[in-house]
Amino acid sequence: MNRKAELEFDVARKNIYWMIAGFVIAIIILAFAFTLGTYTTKLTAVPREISAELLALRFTAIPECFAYVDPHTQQAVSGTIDLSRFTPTQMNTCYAPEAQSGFKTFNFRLRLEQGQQEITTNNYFHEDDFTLIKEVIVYGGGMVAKDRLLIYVQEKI
Amino acid sequence: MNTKAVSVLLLIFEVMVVLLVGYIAFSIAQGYASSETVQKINLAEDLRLMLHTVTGVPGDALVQYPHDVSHFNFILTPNSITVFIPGEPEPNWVLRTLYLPVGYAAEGTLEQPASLCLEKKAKTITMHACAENQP
Repeated sequence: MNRKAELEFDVARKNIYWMIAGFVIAIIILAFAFTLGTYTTKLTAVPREISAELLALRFTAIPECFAYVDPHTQQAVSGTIDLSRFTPTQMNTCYAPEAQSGFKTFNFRLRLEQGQQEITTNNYFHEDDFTLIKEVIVYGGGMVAKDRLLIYVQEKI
Repeated sequence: MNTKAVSVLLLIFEVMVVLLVGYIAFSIAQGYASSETVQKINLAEDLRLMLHTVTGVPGDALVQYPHDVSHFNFILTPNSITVFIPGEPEPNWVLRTLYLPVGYAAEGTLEQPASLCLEKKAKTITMHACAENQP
């Protein structure tokens, strides 16, 4: 083969090579970025139980949720449930993720073991991931009773 | 076109591509692997958990973040906590969403504070630099 033909073949070969190489290099860089992103996510992950537990603190501790308010001191009593507040309307005051995208975050179903009352947050779809249990004192109808609050947690769908 | 000249141009192109790929890969690795990125995410997560905890406390509360935060800026709103390094572009900011009870307010902006405190008074949570004798 003469010299000129060799050079022309070389140029054509390199063009094809770089078309393929450009595609492969792009894939490798994207895979590299994805791998590092996944690693960072794992490195900074917070156990979901801790997040849910701290989020659920409010249910039995503040009057904007379901805590009982002492009529004499006007202070909320931590670890209590006031049955008159244990309603879906109060849940929307207490914890209400966005209506459209709230399914991407924690949602809860709250149930009193003995009382059987049950309320849910606005994006709860019965896809429970785990359950938290709290010992509570329930105030309702002039009665005070010990009960367990079962908090079913739906992390995300 | 002169095929020899094209061949030389392709050689230069190859060298440039190799250098460019190396630079991009190094930039990506540096961006993800820098401790500041991880620190920012950890800070935002910690503050989100602290805000949920403070919200779930009956009565008033004051809590100090127990680490050095002097390299970062913070923005607290009722819907989110944002952590970023001064001067960095907005896409690199770390934002965590909050869901506070209705009627609660959260506010505060800090630029490279020496320390960070979260204070709950009634239904308002404020983020501010800690006073010397706080908490």
